[in-house]
Amino acid sequence: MTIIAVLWLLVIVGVLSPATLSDAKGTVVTPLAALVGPAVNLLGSLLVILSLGLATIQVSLAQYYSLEERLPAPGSVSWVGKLPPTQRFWLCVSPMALVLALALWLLSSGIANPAIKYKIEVGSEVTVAVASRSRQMKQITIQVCRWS
Amino acid sequence: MPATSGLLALPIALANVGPLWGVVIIFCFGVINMLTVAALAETVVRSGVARFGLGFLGQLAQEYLGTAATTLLTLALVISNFLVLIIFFLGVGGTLAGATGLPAPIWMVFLFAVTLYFLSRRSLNATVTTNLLIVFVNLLIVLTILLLALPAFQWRNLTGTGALPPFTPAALGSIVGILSATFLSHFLVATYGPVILRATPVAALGCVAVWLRLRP
Repeated sequence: MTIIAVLWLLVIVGVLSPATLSDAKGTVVTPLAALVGPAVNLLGSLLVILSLGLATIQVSLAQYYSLEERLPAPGSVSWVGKLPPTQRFWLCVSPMALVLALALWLLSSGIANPAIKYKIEVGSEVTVAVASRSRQMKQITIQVCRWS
Repeated sequence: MPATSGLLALPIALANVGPLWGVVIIFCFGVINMLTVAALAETVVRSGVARFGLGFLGQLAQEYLGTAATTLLTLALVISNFLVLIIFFLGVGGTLAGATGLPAPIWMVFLFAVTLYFLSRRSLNATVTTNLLIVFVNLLIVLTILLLALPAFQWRNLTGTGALPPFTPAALGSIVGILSATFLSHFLVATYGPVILRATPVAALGCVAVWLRLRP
């Protein structure tokens, strides 16, 4: 893992300029795709999905075991101990249901994904970063005019 | 933790310190990680509770460190996992929604159903196989992206230290956070140790191998 991380760092730092890296938000997928091509976007998205999907299952297992081991043992005198296996399972996965409900609420309320809106006046200038054919990131300034 | 996806943010986090210091920091985290994983693996092997799957990290801490430690560890683990899972659900849902056009809640419910399926299986053998397959695909993707990016490689980007942005304490937070997420997944040793140790008699090597193979 260490070797892969070092190799990854050296290649990506060699491909993207320090200014591009320091301006990037989140991951290197977007600036890398601007230079290398849309295939990086596809592969990067696939990597995020597989990696986070697998991590979700692993963390869920850890959450399940953490709760399960703290509950009274099956067959003990407490009400939890007397629960049948199916109900005990649902009790252990209940935090997962709460996680899903919270995530859905964050998404629907817009807290998790706030919309970014820009108000651009006609006649104003907007500066954007684009990748040239020589694979260099360049800034260009566009003047906003009325569509006619 | 999202180790492979952590790689995607790693160059951004280390942009302030430059490639040389970046390599040094990665090696430091790698060494700390290997030593602590080996230590935890030995602990799992020496603990009957953990080795035979009779308990998780909480009971392991109870056996070695007492009640206060196990309460602290379990609380920290549960709170951390709870918050991390919310981020994972939003991350997977949002990414899949962007890729397919279907609403994110559908993907989040789908991920929840898949997770429930694996939890209900009780046997970790299927999960180990799935993990190995996904880790292998992830490594292939990382190597493919590297190969695609190589033609755009420029030495002056790697050696031009003059263009580095100034180092700020805020950057340290990103570096520690991203590298911790990339390297530290010790709970995997306790999760998968009991399964793998049945097949691998050399304890520490077996658990380190588990950790290396199963990282997402």
